[in-house]
Amino acid sequence: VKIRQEHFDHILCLHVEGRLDAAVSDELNYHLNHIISQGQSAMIVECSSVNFLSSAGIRTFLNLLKRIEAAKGHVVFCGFSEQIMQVLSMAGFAHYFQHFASTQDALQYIQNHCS
Amino acid sequence: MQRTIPAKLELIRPVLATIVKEAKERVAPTSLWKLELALEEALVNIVKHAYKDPEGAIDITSFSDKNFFMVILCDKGVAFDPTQELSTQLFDASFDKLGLRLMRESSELAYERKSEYNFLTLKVPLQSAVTV
Repeated sequence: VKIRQEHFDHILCLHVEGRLDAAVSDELNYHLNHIISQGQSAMIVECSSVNFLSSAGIRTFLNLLKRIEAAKGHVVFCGFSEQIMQVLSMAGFAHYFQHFASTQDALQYIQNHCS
Repeated sequence: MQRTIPAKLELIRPVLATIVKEAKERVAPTSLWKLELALEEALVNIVKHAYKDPEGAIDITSFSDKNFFMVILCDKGVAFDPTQELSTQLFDASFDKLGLRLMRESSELAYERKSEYNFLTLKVPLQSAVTV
């Protein structure tokens, strides 16, 4: 899994690329926890280059949500493919994630909700 | 195709890649990613829960008949039937319910315990069979 960070003022956009499966979930969890522990509380996770999502990847996202909520922050997602949407629905977690079609939409939302 | 791998997390990706390549010509794209997902969850489940002995192995056999592409996973670990509700099984709390849900939703499963072995069959329809 590859992660590229992009900053829009205080908002961090993470561009995630590759497979989110059991092979990388520990590493990704560690990385995300590290970012949050540094005080980052407004985040966009951009997933248009994520080509596989398993239960391990979903748990990583759920963990991120939990940590950010505990820190009174916001995290939104964008760029889910049709396949990823279906996996989240099958898992029963589709409604847990605030999702936008584009990074621009996600950014606009989070700017309005996280000043 | 038949292969045997040690039950190790890092070996799941290469095996999935081989099976996906094998199934690609025969299975519709929507069934292909569902098969891949079900296999990932099933293999992770075996790697994490089947063996106390770190040397445990998984036999993986893939083939197709007239209507389905199938993969049979065989291990000699603790008896575990992923087609059953978790509450009826041993070690309930440690098993991964989310993974099991995805496995069941994304492919057709059949389970058998024969002597000391678990046999789990995952199957998805062949491309030609989808429209029949």
